[in-house]
Amino acid sequence: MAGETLPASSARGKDQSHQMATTIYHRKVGGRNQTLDTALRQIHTREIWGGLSANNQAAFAVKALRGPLPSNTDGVEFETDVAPTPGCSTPAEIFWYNDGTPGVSLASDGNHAAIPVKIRLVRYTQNNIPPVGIDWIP
Amino acid sequence: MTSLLTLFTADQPNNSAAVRPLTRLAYERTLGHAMPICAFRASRQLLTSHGVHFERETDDLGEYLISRFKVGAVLAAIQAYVDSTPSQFNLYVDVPGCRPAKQDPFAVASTLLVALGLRNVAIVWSNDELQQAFSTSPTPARPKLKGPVTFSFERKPTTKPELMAKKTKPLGARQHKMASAD
Repeated sequence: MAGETLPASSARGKDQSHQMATTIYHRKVGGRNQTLDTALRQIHTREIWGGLSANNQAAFAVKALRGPLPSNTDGVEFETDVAPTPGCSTPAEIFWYNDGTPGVSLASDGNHAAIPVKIRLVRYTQNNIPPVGIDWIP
Repeated sequence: MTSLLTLFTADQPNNSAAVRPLTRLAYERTLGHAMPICAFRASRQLLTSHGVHFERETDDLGEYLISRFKVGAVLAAIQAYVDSTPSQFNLYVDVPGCRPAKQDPFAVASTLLVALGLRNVAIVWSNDELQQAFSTSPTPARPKLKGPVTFSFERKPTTKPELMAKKTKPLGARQHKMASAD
């Protein structure tokens, strides 16, 4: 049950201890925080952040969905070589807990977990954005 | 697809008395770490008709339905993101909380589904990473139960006469004394 895996040559970073093959994930618009403003910050910081989850109030978690962003869906698509926290993901949702999982850090605000990512696609075509929308690929 | 009974136990008794709904506040206060045990296919209407009352909440991934329970002393939850696969729910169990309660998380999941009368739902996924950890013995995730421990205590000689007595005590004296007592 992995997301879409990229060739090993696309893996980034120097510390190989916590890394696995780079894998593609996405986050859709509709969550509490995945707004266009958030997407722009994710591009700028090259990080995805996550707060508390319903099932663990003791650690922050970055959450995402497996695979590329579906067509006609707004959100962000990203890749990372940080492995998800073992045993915590479901067939659809991936969790990176800031509980000692290698590669997961505490975000600069102290209230979120963060993982380094490379944003592959940003698509915002609805709600409070310019009429032409945004469909950005680096 | 594997049926629940073949995945978990053959004749799981209905222990509905051990299962009770839990509020969000009580659930969160425990600071447990619920991990997904399995995903099963069922309609929301079916679950509601079996007494599962969902709350609608939102986190930074999206909106989800969740129903929280306490199975014995262990927290469990049935959860599904609204935008996720239709009619598919994840069953979570507080795995670290199973250790002090000496419970197997898979047995907890099974107990919950059976108690809710959901014995025949189709299990479409089970958490292999956890299952492997709990299927071998001794397991890394389970507490290592030690056998009975016996202690013996003998005061070390500290005074000079005691030390001298110990030095002069011939080997086998104890056995000889016991034999002579008979």
